[in-house]
Amino acid sequence: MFNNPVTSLAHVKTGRLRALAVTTAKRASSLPDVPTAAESGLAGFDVGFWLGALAPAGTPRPIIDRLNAEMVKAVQMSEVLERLGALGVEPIGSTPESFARTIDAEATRWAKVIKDAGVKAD
Amino acid sequence: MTSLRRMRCANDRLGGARVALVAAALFAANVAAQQAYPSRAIKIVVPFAAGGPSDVMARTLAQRLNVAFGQPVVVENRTGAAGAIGAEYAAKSAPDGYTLLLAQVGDTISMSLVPNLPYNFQKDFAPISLVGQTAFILVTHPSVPANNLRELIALAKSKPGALTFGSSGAGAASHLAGELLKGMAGVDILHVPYKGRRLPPLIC
Repeated sequence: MFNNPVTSLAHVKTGRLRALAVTTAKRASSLPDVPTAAESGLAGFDVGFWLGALAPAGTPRPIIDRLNAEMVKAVQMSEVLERLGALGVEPIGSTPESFARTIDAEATRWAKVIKDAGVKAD
Repeated sequence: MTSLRRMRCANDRLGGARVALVAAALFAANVAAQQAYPSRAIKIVVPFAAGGPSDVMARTLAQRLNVAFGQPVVVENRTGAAGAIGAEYAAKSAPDGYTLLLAQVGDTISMSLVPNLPYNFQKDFAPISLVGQTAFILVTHPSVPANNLRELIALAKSKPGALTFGSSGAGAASHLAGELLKGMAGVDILHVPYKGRRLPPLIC
C-alpha cells in the first residue's frame, strides 16, 4: 500500500509495517534509510502529493511575483519547516513557470495512467 | 470624396486617440491597484476540510503572508466534489490577487477523471508557486516475503494477480501511484480502495 510517511512512520518504527520504498525522486527526510523506487530499479519513478498556490487566470504579473516571493520565503522559515516537517511535507517554493510545467507534466502523466489502467472515479 | 475621406481619417484618428486614452487610464488604474496591493484581506481557498495537508499548508502560508503584507489573510474551506467546489469558486473569482487557491496533486487527476468539470485547471489559473510535497511510502506487512521493492516486484511476477494493494480511494493519488508502478514494473497487483481513515489492507 502507498501511504503518507507520517501515517506510516510510527508503524514502520515499531515494526508493524515494513517500508520498501518512497515514491519521490529524493528520499524522505523522515525515513532517510528507505530507498526511492527509482533507486530500486524503477528509473524515473517520481510521484508525490504536492501542494501549490494559484490565482485566477488574468491576475496581474506583479501581484503573482509579489505572492511568489513571500511564499518562497515563508516555506523556508524555520518554524514553518518544523510545522510542515511534522506533516511529512518537504518545502519547495518554485517559480510560477516551474509550477506551470509541473502542472502540465502531471496532467499529461495522470491522463495516461487513468486511460491505460481504466481507472474510474468513485 | 477627398474631404469625406479626410473627415473619416480625422474621425479614425480621434477614435484612435480615445482608445489610447482609455487604455492609458486603465493602465494607470492597474498600476495603482498593484502598487497598493494588498490593500485589504486576502482569501486562500482550501477545497478540503480543516486539518488536512492543504489546510495546514494554507494556514501556515496565511500566517506568514499576514506578517509580510500587514493585511489579514484568511483561509476559507470550501469542500466537496473531491476539491472541485473550491477550485471552481477560486477559478471564477476576480483575478485581483485577493482570492487564491491552495491546490494539490488531485487537481491534475480530476482533469482526466471527472467529466464536465465547470473549470479548466490548466487554463483558468495562474500558478504562483509549488510550495511543498510529501512522498508516498510503499509499505507491506512484515510477513510478506519481500525485503525491498525489487523482491516485491519479483514476487508479484511469480504470482500474477495474487497480491493486492490498498489506497485511500479509487482515483486517489495513492491509487494512481500504484497503477503507475504496476505499469512500469509490468506486474499485476489488484487494487483495493478504502475510503476514510480505516487502515487499508496491505500488500500480502
